[in-house]
Amino acid sequence: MFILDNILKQFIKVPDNLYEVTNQQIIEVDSYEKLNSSTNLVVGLVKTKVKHPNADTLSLTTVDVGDEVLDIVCGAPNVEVGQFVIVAKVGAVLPGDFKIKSAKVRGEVSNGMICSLTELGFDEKYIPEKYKEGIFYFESKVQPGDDALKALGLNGHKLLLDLTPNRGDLLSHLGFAYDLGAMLNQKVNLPKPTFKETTINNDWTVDITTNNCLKYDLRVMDVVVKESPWWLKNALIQSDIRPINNVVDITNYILMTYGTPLHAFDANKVNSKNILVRQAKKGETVVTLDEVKRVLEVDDIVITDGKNPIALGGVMGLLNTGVDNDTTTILLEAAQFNPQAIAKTSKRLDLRSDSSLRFERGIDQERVRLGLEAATQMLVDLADAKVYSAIASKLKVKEENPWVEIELQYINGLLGTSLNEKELLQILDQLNYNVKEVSNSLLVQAPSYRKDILIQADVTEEILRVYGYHKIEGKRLQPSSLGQLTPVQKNIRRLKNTLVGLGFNEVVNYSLGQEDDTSKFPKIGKSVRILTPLSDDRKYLRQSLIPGLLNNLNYHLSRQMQDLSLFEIGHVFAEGVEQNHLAVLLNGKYVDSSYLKQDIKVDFYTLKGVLNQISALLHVDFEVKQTSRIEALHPGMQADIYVGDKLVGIMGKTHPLTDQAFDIKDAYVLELDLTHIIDQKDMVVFEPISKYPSVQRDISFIVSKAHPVGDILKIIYQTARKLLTHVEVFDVYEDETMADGYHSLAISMTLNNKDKTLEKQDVEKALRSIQNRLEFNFKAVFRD
Amino acid sequence: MKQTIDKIVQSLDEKLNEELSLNDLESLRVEYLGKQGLLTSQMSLIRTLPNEEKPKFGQLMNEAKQKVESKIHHYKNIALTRQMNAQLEKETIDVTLPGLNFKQGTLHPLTIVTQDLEDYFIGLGYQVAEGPELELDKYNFEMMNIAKDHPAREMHDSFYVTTNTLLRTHTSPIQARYMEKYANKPVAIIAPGKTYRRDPDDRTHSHQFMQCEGLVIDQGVTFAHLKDTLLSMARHIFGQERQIRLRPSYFPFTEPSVEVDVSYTKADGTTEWIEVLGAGMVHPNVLKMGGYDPKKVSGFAFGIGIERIAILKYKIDDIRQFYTNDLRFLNQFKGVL
Repeated sequence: MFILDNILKQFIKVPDNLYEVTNQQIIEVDSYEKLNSSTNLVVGLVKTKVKHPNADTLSLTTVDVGDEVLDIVCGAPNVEVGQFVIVAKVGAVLPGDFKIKSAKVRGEVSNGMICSLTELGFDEKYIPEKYKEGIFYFESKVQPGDDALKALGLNGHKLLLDLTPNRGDLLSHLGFAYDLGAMLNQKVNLPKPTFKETTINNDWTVDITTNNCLKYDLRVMDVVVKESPWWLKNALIQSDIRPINNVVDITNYILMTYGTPLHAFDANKVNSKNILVRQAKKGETVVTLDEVKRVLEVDDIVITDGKNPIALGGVMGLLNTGVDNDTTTILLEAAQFNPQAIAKTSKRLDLRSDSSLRFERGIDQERVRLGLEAATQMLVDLADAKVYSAIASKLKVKEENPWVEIELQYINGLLGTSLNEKELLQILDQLNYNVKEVSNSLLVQAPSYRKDILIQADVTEEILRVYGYHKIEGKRLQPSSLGQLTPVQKNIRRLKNTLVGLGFNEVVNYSLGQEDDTSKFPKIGKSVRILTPLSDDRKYLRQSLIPGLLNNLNYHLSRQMQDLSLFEIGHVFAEGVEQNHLAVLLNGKYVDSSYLKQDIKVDFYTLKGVLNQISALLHVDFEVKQTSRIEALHPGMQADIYVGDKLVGIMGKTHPLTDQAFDIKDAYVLELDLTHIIDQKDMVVFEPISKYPSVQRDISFIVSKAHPVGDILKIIYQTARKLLTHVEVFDVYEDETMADGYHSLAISMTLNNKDKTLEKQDVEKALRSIQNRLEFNFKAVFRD
Repeated sequence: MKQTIDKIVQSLDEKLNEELSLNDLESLRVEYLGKQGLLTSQMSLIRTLPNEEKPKFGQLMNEAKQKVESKIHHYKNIALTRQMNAQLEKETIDVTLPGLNFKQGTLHPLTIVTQDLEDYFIGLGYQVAEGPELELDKYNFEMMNIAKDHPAREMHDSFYVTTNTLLRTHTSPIQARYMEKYANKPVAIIAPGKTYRRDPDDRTHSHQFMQCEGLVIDQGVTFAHLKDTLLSMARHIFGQERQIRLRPSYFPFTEPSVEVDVSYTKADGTTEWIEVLGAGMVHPNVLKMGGYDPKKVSGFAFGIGIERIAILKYKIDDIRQFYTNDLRFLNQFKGVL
């Protein structure tokens, strides 16, 4: 919504700090600027015009600008003697920082410029045909030397309000003036109409058969349809409304000034003198003013001539009764409709107009008559209207704002203020509230233009706006709770910090991706699709964090950056499922030691090392089991990660086809569902440190590779659980002396007994039973 | 006798100097103290002495031996030190060569800002609440006082996945869930999280972004408490010299509602304001739907954009930076508090 101070000033004295008051007490201001940035423009009268001696397309003119006559070289084909034109004098600055200087044009002096509308910054679409190829001239007499911007109605400023849905009252200059008046403690001045009705009687009747039309007023008048004066056109253009003719322009002007949507019918095209407002019939067809055929529903409201529709109520007029240049008599409608009904129709037909917007936000019933009369006055002034006597009118539903009970204690309690009753009443008076005292309580009613004041809290906000936000004294709050993170939140932080310490960069990827991204990665359920996606690549909610990480890798590899260690913690989704996952990606070198030549090149076991860190950090024992079920991963280098019987994640190297699809290489990924592993509380109970020395023993044996080393280690643990404190694989090798598919393992074990010194025979016994188990279970062949 | 021994001991001094090697010194020791040594050989004289003088002579000899030992030992130490120093010098390295490249990872800047806010509010006694990102219409809109045909829904162009499930458009549904769960108990929470709106991505818009919600409900909570909370938070985030300015606004879930501007000083020294967050007193309808009696308790709520904070704090030029995850961007946040 644009507020022009030129229009505003008929209602209220405009303060110098209009921007500040508006922005800080009324509504957010998007911009506050001059209507036109041009300076030093005056009205000029073209006195003489001769052809430029040295240029065919140029003219030499003399122009009277009041206090002097200027020589101006003009290139416009339409400049003529006797025109009142706009002159940019030497020193003027036009939009686009175009400075006017005294100059010689092909040898002839030019002291200024006669302006076109384009040079004044007008949008091409608002420039009438006759001014398109040349200068602008006034149609009527203007005083040479006068401020040309003022003559055009382009002096002053405009505010662009960033309206919130609750403030429909600010969709008019009058509504804005009321609020400004409340903030400044000024009363609004309403200009009184002065026109006289003629003796011709308005013998039209109005009937309403639907409660969706609350009020309907109709005036009849003879008019002369013509072009509007420029001040009116510019008022509309500044509000981004295209000028059409005086009648239509006046209805639009009243709309933005009073907030009253008006509609003018050509009276001669209406087939009866009975206006009937009713709900539409299903399937009824109409052609709206934009020449589109519309099929109506029973929820729509139509204005009819008793039989056939002549307007789509509150939304748009119909072509069959539209005003054109031949119109001589108009029916001027001012009405009020149910906001929800209008919203429904305009949404269904995708027909949104300045009128429907105001109806949707709810117009003030009082403004129906007020706007009608203000428009009539303008039609008398600008369209030579002869106004028939009397207004055909029907009030179907009388609207009244609710009375709201307020308590000083509540208001002070909510705001932290200490207002007394006198101050409260003063503020309510500024806001134009009706107030009555009923047995110790205060009942207030907002003025009819404020339909959003329904409860005490609404009134409190109004009081706060007038009182001033800056006057509220801040007070320190002491919540009754203790601030702390939950164990899960703490663990997430520890996890992140540990990974960062291990050299990982945390990333945050989009939750929305394309379906292909997820199809080959582990799924957690049925895909969730967005009903109206922004684009195909943001259509599905991710089921895995891995594709995002692979895209990150692609991004960096294609920019010659490698050796990535990335992780993300975020939600993944499926129908009825939302889980918090962790995923990590390793690529290239985990340690690049350069000249030191101690690189750690990433492989599956580097990734497993990361898993071990997570295991230690979260106090969970992961079991890694060979698998080949995940299509996106290398079938021989992938694993399921279990905690007990529960599958909690996967890890592996990406499949060559995945590498192709993502244009990446050398990626090792891991993904864990954190749901059941992140809620571990710190459950450490101190265990006394053994007073007795540990014994370290190594064993080595040849065994079939068909037995995963993990299984072998598990058995070793099981067999000597009481004594073993640490087991480590320190060598894995194979050579030609071994049978195909066999390898040699060397395992170092640390044994300790907390209760006594380990005797040699205890150690031997333990080792022997380990050896027996391994020989029995795995056919291990021990070396001597 | 004594003179002869002293002479022998003294004769050693002429042979000792700091340049001698360990081998030289060992030879000297043998020369004096070996079986046939200059000093050792004097021992045979003991036989020629009367018995009463023998102990004295023995003592004399011992002292002389010790002197010789001690002198040679002294020079051996010098030689050892010289030898060690030579070895150390050989081992000297160029300390200016680069060290091993341990990787230093980074928390994402959105995490850094979120954790900072969490820590700040935890210190004030708040808890950190969370909720699902795929949310029911009921929590996202209805319990936030945004009914089906409410005009405010236009401000939330949403990603629906079914007619009543959508990606949450703000973190406010966490409020609704929390109130429902803890109905009628005092509340002081902040709720950070991801949110989604159907805005095409550009420099200033992202279809996915992060918010942090704050909610306090208790007896006697006032707008004055809200104002202090907002000022303190703004100062914590942006600096102690900052001021805030409140302006009227509209959110269906708060009444009164305010927009919060934070001051900054321009290069020319003048004060300007920048819009940073929205806040207000919890709407009575929201309290009621959450199971609270608006006659007995009141509350305030605020919502702040995490990207917005990061953009202002670190002068980031494009919101898409957060979701591109370029290492050259991420690595700038090493060691950020």
